Amino acid sequence: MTELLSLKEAPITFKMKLIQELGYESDGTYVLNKDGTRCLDRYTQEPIQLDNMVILPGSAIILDDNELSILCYLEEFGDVL
Amino acid sequence: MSSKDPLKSAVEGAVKGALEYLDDKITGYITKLSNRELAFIGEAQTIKTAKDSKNASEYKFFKQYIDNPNYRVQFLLGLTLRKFEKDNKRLTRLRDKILRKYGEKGLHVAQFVQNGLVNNYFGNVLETSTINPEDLTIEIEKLFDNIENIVNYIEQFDNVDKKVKEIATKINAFSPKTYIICSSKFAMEQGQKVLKGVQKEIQNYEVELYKTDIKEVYFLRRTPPKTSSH
Repeated sequence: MTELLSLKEAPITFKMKLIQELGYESDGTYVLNKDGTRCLDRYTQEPIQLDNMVILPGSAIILDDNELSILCYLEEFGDVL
Repeated sequence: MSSKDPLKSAVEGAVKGALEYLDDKITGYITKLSNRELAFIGEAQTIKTAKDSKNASEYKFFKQYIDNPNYRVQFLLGLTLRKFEKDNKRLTRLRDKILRKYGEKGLHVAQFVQNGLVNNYFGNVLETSTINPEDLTIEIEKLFDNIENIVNYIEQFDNVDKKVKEIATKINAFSPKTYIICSSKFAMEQGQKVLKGVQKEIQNYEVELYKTDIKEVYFLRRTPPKTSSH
């Protein structure tokens, strides 16, 4: 079973380092792609904020933390959570 | 860290964050993420709500008859909207997201589920006949494809005359077996006025009302045309 760890209380430095390891950047507010553009949620196409992101299995997908994105993810990848 | 209860684990993760969020643990976390052994979540409640919708018996029953993945998600979103009915902020936020992603039609499919109309719509069919799975799949797809022509949601400040004209035109043009007029909370009075207006404009439909404290749903069911007794 997949272990779940909440980022809600994680320090911003931890989150920034985490996404850097995954090949992303941050301006302190948003998750950025390598080219400096804002990383968009795969399902809502909205920019992902560092303080409201989730990182889910499946090529380490970064999403906005909302029900629509989570349900779309579960539909695409199955019940992996 | 392993746990039999991942949600509990997530909540515990938030509490003992200082121990979990050490930078030197990141490499290990990335490995676990790659192996699908770990997920970083936000609010534990978001995951719980999504999983509750997926585990709802209503979804488990109908999903076997819904082939279109977008409709499956819209069904799940409808169940989630239903959970948020007493939390206006979350309800509005999710509704806006559905609207942006799927447009009005997708929102109306979700609201159809939210209002328990799938059960009502198919309940009668399932009770009274032996319908095969292929037929039910086709019926559900047809229902969702044509949702704009068979259901109308009345808002508090809608123009009654305009709504009456819109609904009567659709009913007279398409003669659907069932047409649904739905209103909730402060829009229920408007819904009643719209129904009265529509009834004057159409023939051969009978009305069934499903009512709760916060919503009124009128099912207009087509009846056989009345024949003269000559």
